[in-house]
Amino acid sequence: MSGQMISDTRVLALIETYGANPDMFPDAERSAARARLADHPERFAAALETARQMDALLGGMPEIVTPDTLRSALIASAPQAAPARKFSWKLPVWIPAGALASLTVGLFAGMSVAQPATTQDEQAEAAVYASLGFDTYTLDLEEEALQ
Amino acid sequence: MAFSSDLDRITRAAAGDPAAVSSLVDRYSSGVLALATRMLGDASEAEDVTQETFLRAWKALPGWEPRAKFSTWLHRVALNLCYDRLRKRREVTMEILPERTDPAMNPAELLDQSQRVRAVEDAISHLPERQAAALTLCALQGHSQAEAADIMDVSVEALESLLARARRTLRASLLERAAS
Repeated sequence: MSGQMISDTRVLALIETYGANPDMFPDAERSAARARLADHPERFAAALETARQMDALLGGMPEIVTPDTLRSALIASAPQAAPARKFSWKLPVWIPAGALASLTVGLFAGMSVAQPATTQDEQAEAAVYASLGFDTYTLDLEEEALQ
Repeated sequence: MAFSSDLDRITRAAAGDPAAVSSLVDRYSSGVLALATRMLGDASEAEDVTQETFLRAWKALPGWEPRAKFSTWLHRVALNLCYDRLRKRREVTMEILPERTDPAMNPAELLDQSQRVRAVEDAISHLPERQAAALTLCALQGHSQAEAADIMDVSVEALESLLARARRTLRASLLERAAS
């Protein structure tokens, strides 16, 4: 409202609302109110004096600072970063013992059911049959043997 | 550590960055505590409100809407928590003090400094709650009219009305105390 008119009533209302310091007035009305106050100081002297008293009381209020204990509590209540997961090589004793037992049982079972080794000729013949798309070579041999 | 904005602080705090958390606490806890102290007139309750306010803030961080202003949101939460506590205290009837406008009397001259501070703190905490909030936000904490109105969820015109009434009521209350 700079350069615009402002009424005495409005200036009085601003003083009553925001106090005696025009810096506290709303931006849009500050310049016009300053000009009005400068032009007619006698009209606003009483209102300004009353407002100054209240401003002094409010301005004398001590600043409130967060106590350290409260600050710590506020920080402690905040979300924490998820801790990075550490891989540990220290496994419980039963895990390697179990693994060893399983390995032993597996080897024993494998050796028990293992097929006897075939000759090199049989292996070569099987490979030829397989490459030609036959997968019943062993069966055919067994049928021939029966005949 | 430097942060580019509140949104930067919020994003990092949500991920658990301790520096961002400390920065938010250092930036806003005193304002929240001061608002609650003035509204409630009780330091212990004010600390409880501050803790509750920040707990809610921490919960809100992961889904924070970037356009929202953290300061306004935080003060609004604190103010609503204060309103809740004041409503629970309603069994204590608030005395409506008669308005006195004798310009010849100056409350500041009638009380010594420490009495004055206590009297003003007490008188503010006994103002009608919305008047106390308007006065605290604008006159004591330096929020702009627009910010204070936003925090209180009222128009700037309504805020002005509350402020003017708060100052009148406060003056009358202090004169009453000084005279008694």
